[in-house]
Amino acid sequence: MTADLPPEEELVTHLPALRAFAISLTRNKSTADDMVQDTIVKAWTHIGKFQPGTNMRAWLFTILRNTFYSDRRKSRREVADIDGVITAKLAEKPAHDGRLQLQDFKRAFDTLPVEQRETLILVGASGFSYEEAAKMCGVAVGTIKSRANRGRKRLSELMHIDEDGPVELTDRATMAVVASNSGTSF
Amino acid sequence: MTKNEPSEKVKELIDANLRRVFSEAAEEDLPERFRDLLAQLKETQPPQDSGQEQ
Repeated sequence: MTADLPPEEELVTHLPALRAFAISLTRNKSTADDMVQDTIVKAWTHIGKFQPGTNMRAWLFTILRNTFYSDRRKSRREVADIDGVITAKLAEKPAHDGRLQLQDFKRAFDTLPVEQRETLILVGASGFSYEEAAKMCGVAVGTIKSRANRGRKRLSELMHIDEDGPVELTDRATMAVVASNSGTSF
Repeated sequence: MTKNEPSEKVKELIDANLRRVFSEAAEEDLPERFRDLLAQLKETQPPQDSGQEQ
């Protein structure tokens, strides 16, 4: 329970998720860490602007994404910083190893436009509603929905998930989930 | 706008993978420098007493 923590202490509890969000935006860990660092300083300095009782994670994610887009504008660097993952091709055949499947999924994810990555992390992975995500990104709810749909659609194509047929255990995405679930003891 | 929305099944599968990728990244250890930075902030900009003093 983080609800009763003073904001400065609650902030710390969100750092792992904040960093994961940064990594998905930048696709580069050291750039992500720099961005999280900037976000920590900004959030700490303006902690008085945070309204207790509201969603601090949403507040922090918003600061981070604003930092990200303003850095990008400044440097006019479109997709310069890449960990080298993007150009890597997906394996020709689905691998039998679930870890590899998840790697494939990550690579596929990293090829998506930044708006789709951002949207999918917010609504697909972090459990924000379309409305919350729209507010955080400063766009209409319909825009968020369409970004999410396009992103999921593209991922399903890249992962060779058959839209019409039943989900086979050989699907890359299924394998990734199955393998990762069996690895954790709940 | 025909059939641009993936099916529930596909959506769930994709989202399960997204959650996995995201939580994997969130499980990584935080860089040491974050801790140093927080310690430094605590010292230079101590938290204000926001009504819950001592």
